[in-house]
This record gives sequence, C-alpha cells and structure tokens, in this order.
Amino acid sequence: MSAAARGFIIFVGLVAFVAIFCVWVPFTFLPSIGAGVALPVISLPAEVLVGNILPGFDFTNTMTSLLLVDALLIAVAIVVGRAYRSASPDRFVPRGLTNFVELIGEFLYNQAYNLLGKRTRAVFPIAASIFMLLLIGNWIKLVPGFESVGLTVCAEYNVFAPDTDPEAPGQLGYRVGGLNAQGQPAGILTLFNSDNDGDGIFNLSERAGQKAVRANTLHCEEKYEWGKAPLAQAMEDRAIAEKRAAAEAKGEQWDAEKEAKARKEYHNKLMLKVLTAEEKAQLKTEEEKLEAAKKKIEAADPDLFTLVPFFRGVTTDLNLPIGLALVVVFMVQVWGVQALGGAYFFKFINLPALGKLSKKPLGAIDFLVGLIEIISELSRIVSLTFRLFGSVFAGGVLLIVFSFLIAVLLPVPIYFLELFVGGIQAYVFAILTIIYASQAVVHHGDEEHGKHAHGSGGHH
Amino acid sequence: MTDAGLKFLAAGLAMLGAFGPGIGVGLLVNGALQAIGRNPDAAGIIQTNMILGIVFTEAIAIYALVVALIALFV
Repeated sequence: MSAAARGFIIFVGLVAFVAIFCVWVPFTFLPSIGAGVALPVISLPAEVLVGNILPGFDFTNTMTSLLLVDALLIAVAIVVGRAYRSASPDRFVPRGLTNFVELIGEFLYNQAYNLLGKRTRAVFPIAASIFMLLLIGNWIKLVPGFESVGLTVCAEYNVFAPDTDPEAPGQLGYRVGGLNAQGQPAGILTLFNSDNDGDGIFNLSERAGQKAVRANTLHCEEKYEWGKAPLAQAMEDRAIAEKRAAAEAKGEQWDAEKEAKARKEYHNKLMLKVLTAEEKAQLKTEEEKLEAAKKKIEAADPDLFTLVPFFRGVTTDLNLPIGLALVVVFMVQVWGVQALGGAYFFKFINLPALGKLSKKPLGAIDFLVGLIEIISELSRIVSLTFRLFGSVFAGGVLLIVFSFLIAVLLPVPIYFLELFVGGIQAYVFAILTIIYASQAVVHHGDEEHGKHAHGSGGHH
Repeated sequence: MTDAGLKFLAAGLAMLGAFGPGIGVGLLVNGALQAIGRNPDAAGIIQTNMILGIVFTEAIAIYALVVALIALFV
C-alpha cells in the first residue's frame, strides 16, 4: 500500500471521527436525551459561592482558587527551603522541584540584577513572589476541573432592576458580582431578556445557559422554591432579617408565621418585577398581576441552569490584578524614597527647576513634565491591571467558546497558547515591577540636574 | 435595533482598537527578523526583547478586547 493510500484511510477516519464526535454527539444525540448544551454563560465578575459570608462581603470562586494557589506556593517554599537547609552548601546539587524553582529564581534574579544592581535585595522578593503567584495562578486554571466543575444553579426569573429605581421593570437573568450599597446586585447576567425578534417570547435561540437534565430540575425545585443562587438566598435572608429587626424594634413578636408571610411578600414583590409599567396599569388586582407575572416567567423557560464553578482562574477576576498593581506602584514610591529620600518627589513636583526659573526660564517645561509624571504613574496601575486581566480572561473565553463549538481536539492548541500567555504575562508583570523600581531609584533629569541634586543632597 | 444587537455592534466596534497594535506587531517582528538576519549570533537576545515588545504592543489590543468583553458580558 502506498503512503498516499494509507494517508487517505487515516484522513477518512479523522473526518468520520470529527463528524460523529464534533457534530452528531453535541448537536443531535445530547439534546435528544435532554442533556443538550446551548451557549456558555460567561460572567465577567467572579461568581459568588457563598453570599454574605461577612456583612456585605461575598465569597467568590476566585477566592477559593487563590487560597489553593497560596497553599501550593507555601508547600513549594517549605519543600525547597528544607532541601536547601538539609544539605551542606558546597556539596548541594538541586534536583527536581528544587532545581526548577532555582532555575526560575536565577533567571529572574539575573534580569533584576542587571537593572537594579545593589538594590536588587529590596525589590527582588516582591517581584519574584508576584511572578510565582501569577505563574501558578495562570497555569493552574488550565487543569481540567477548573472553571468546569461546580454547583448547578437554577436560573432566576425575579431579578431587580439593574439601576436603583424601584419602580423600573426587572430583568430576567442571573445575579452576579455581589451587592452594591443599596443591597441590590452589582451586575446582572441577562439571559432571558434578549428578545431579539421582539415578539415578547424568549426563544431557545435567543438565550444562553445550559439546559439541565430533568433530574437536576427536580432537585432544584425541591431544594429552593425559587431555585436560587447562593447570592439570591443571601439577599432574601438579608431583607427578611431587616424586616424582623424593624418589627422587634416596634416591640412586636416575630414567629414562624410572620416569617413565612414576609418571605411570601418578598417573593411576590420580586415576581411583579418582571412586569412592565404598562402591563401593571392594565391589570387591577394583585392576583391578576401575580398570575400575569407567573405566565411571563414560565414563558422564559424555567429549565435553565448555569454553572458556578468551585474554582476559577485567579487573574480572571479584576480584583487580583488591580490589587497587585496597587501594591507594586505603592512599593515603587517606597523604594524611590528609600533610595533618594525626599528628593524622590521632585520627580513629580520639580521644585529645583521652579527655583532656578530666573536663571533657566525653560525649567518651566521640566516642571510641567513632572506633573505629567503623576499621570503616567497612575496610568501604570491601569495598564498593569488590564494587561494581565484582559489577556487571561480573554484566554478563558476563547477556551470555553472553542470547547462549546467543537469539544473534541480543537481546544488542545488553545491550551498550548494559554500556557504560553500565562507564563509571559506573569513574567511581564514581574519584569515591569523591576523596571519601574529601577526607574524610581536613579536620579532623574539631565547631567546638570543630576549634579545639582547631589549638591543639594550634601546640604541636608 | 434591539439592545442585544447594539451590544454586539458595540463589541465589534471596540475591536477596531486591534487595528493599530496589529500593524505595530508586524513592524516589530519585521525589525527583529532583519536584525537576526544581519546578526544571527544575537538571535536569542533579539527574540526575547521582541517578545517583550510584542506583549507591550499587544496590551493596547487587549484594552480594546476588555472593552468589547465588558460590552458583551456585563
């Protein structure tokens, strides 16, 4: 058999494989047994796992993975530290994990030393910690089970209006991203209200979300009357607790009957949220309104579920990148002051240039440039944050979209790309920390200014 | 046009921001490859710096992407 004939057979086999597992299974077989998949639900804010864990503070799934990454890092630090301590330094040969950590550390240290010289000791620990945290955080999200194993949460049909206007009609969808100061959801993932053809009915093609198997639906209906996400449950409990406190402040007794009544009222109030103002005006009695609301909710399909993963990549939540960026920019100021003293702030408000204005009128430009430096310092926070967050989050979206398009084989090259991007972004964050630090610890301005700064330094 | 349609349109328009960085990355790689062609011994250093430059250029496109993602998913 010639090579071309053998190749032909393999090619036919591949085509058949793709046709069966990439077309027939996801689009025909799975829907027929009631486990069909629509579109992925992508939520920009991290999903809430336990609502209201501290007053006004929700525990999200990026926090669980950050705890996991921290535990891993501490374990690695202990193992590697013990390996170093147990052997005598002159005969020590690093192996395995120790060797890998030393490789990374040495690579980063050499880069830092080239830029910082004797100040490496101050800057390197923070830069290297950030690098290790981001590297493990970006890579661990590619482990199967991350962002894919979690709670199935029933869809909510009873969401508040997104703004604070209590009379505006509510949106149908999932609540995401914690509560704002008014106790309302900070964001709403709209699923049902994308009524694209405007016929008032939310069709299958017009919504995202996973269609659950029947067993899940029953479980959800049994567990919660309203099939709530953890956050929704927390919101309800908070509202009921407020009512109870108000009643007890007036000296009334609070019993189970009153609580049930309060919950019923809360549910009805939420339910009426799905009606628009015109619809409310047409209906007179409360019962009619509730009935109309119920019909509208049922038309939106109650069998929809979404997944709240237990773990989600740490940098796909904006809070971690912005936190790290704030730490880095703050520490750069600290290192600058350590190296140059109060003269560091002449970089921003150039007093020497202002003082010499009579001798050198062009120093006014230096002063204005200093003011622009303030803006550039602030823009570093934005650029550090969004570079990291954007590339990692976009990678996650890319992975999930590809997985939902064709689940077999196609996502594999994207995983390689994500490995590369995760490593590069961690490295860039660390190296930028080092570069910013190296810019902060040297005297600024041209040669003449530098001399002058030294001279004034001598007077102190 | 419905709100959902406008959202998709907004996301698409936001991605126009990838126009400039695309050209920028092309110019960067052009320069780096010419440099490697002239001095093949320095390929390692040039490659590292090229990738660093690409990442910074790419960041601008990522800002546009973040705007598009926010328009779509928030």
